[in-house]
Amino acid sequence: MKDAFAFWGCGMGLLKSLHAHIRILSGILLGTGCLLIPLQSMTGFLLLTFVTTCWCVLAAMPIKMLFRFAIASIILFFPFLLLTPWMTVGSLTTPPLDDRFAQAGSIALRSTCCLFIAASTIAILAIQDVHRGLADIPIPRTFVVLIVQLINQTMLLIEETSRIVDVLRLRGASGVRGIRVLFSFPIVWMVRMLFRAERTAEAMTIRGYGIEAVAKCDGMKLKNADVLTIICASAFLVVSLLLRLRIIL
Amino acid sequence: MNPVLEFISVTIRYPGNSRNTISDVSFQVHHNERVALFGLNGSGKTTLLLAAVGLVPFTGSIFIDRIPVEKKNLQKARDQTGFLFNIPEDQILFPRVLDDVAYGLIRKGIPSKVAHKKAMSVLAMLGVPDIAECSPFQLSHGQRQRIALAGALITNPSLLLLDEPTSGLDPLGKISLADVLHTAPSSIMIATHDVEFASRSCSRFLVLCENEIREFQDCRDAEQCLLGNVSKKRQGKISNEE
Repeated sequence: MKDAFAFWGCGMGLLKSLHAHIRILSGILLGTGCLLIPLQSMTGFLLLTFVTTCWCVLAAMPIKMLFRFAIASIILFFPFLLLTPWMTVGSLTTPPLDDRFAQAGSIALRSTCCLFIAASTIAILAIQDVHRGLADIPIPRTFVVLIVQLINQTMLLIEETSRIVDVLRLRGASGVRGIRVLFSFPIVWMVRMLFRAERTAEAMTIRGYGIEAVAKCDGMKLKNADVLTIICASAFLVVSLLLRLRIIL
Repeated sequence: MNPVLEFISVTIRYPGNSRNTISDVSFQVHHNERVALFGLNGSGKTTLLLAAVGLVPFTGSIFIDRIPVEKKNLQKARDQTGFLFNIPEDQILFPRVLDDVAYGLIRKGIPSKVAHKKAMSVLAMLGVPDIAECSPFQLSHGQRQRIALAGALITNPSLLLLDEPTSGLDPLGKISLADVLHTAPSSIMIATHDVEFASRSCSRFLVLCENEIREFQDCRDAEQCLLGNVSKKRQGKISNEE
C-alpha cells in the first residue's frame, strides 16, 4: 500500500519530459483508442499491441512495477479465457472453439492493454503535476476540482489505512487475535475516515475551497515532442475509430 | 483600539450533550497581541477556536475584526482569519505544496504567478523553500505543519488561530516557529499544552477550566492554575473511587 505514492511519477522514460497536460491527454486518447479498436482483424491486434508496447517503453516504468502489473492483469483478466466454452460470438449456433477463444482472448488483451496504458500514464505523472496538468486541459473546472480532490483524498485514505495496518502489525494482531481484529478493523477504519472527512470538510470551509482552486493556464509553449506525441495519440484514436466503423478494412 | 477577536458571553453545547462545553465565556484579543489558550484534554480549546470561525454552533456573540461571526458574514469573517488545525494533513488540499500555499491568494483573484512568488517567499520565511515543488505525501509531519502554516500566513490575516502548533515539532522547529510567529503581522491565539513555547511566544494567557475562562499576564500563574485543575481532577477521581 505504501507503494501507492511511489508509483506516481516512477517512470524514467522520455515521455516524462513532456508537458503534464500532454501526458494526461495522450494517455486518455490512447486509452479511448484501446477501448474502440476492433481486435477481430490482424491490423487491430498488431496496432494495439504496438501502441501499448511503445507507450510502456517510452514511459520506462521500473521492472518491479511492470512485473506487478503483469501479475495483476493475469489475475484480473485471465479468468475471461475460462469463459471460452460459453462464448456465443453473436450467433445462435455454437461457433468453433477457435472463434470463441479469440473472443475471450480479445477481451483479456484489450483490458490488459488499457491497464498498462493507464499504469504507464500514472508512472510518467508525478502527483504534484496532476493539478496543473488537468487545469491546462480545456475541461470544466468543476471536473478538475473533483479529480484533484479525488486523488488527494485517495492518497490520504491510503496513508491512513497503511497507518492502521502498521498499528495492527505492531500490536501483534495475528493468529486468533488477528481474526478478532479483522472484525473490528472495518469499524475502526470507518470511524477514523469519518473523523478525517469531517476535519477536511472543516478545513475546506475555512479556506473557502471551491472552483477558484483550479490553477489558471499560463499559456505555455509546446515543444516539438509535445506536438508529436499528441498527434500520434490522436492518430491512434482516429485509426481505431475508423477500424471500428469498418471504413479502412 | 478595537479588538481583533472578541467573545461576548459565548456558550457552546454540542447537540446531544447534557453539559455545556463552554459556558458564558468572554474575552478579547487585541491588535498584534499573542494569546495562549491552555486547558486540559477535552476542556474545549479546539471547540473555542472552531466557534471563532463559525464551525461550531454557539450562543452569545463573536466578532472578528468587528465583523460578527454569523451566517450572513461567515465568509467575510473567515477571510480575516488564518487557521492551523492540529492535524495539518487535513487542511492540505492540493497535491503540490506550492499550489496549496498559494491557494489563499489565488482565491482572492491574485494572478497565479504573483501568488506562487509570494508562496515561495512564505515558504522561505518558514525555512522550507526547497519543498515547494514536492507533494505533501512525500513530507514529514513537521514539514506538513509548516505548509499548513504557510497557507494560513500567506494572506496576512488579521487573526491567526493555531491549534496545537507544536505537536510533532522538534525543539529546533519549535524555536523557529516561535520566531516566525513573533514576526507575523497578525494577532495570534494559540491553543496549546506547551507551556515553554507559549511563554516564549505569547504575552497573555487564558486557561479554560470547568467550562470557564481565566486570564493571566504571567505564564507561571497560568501554569499554576492548570496544575491546580489537574490536582482537583485527581482528588475528585480519588474521592469518587473511595
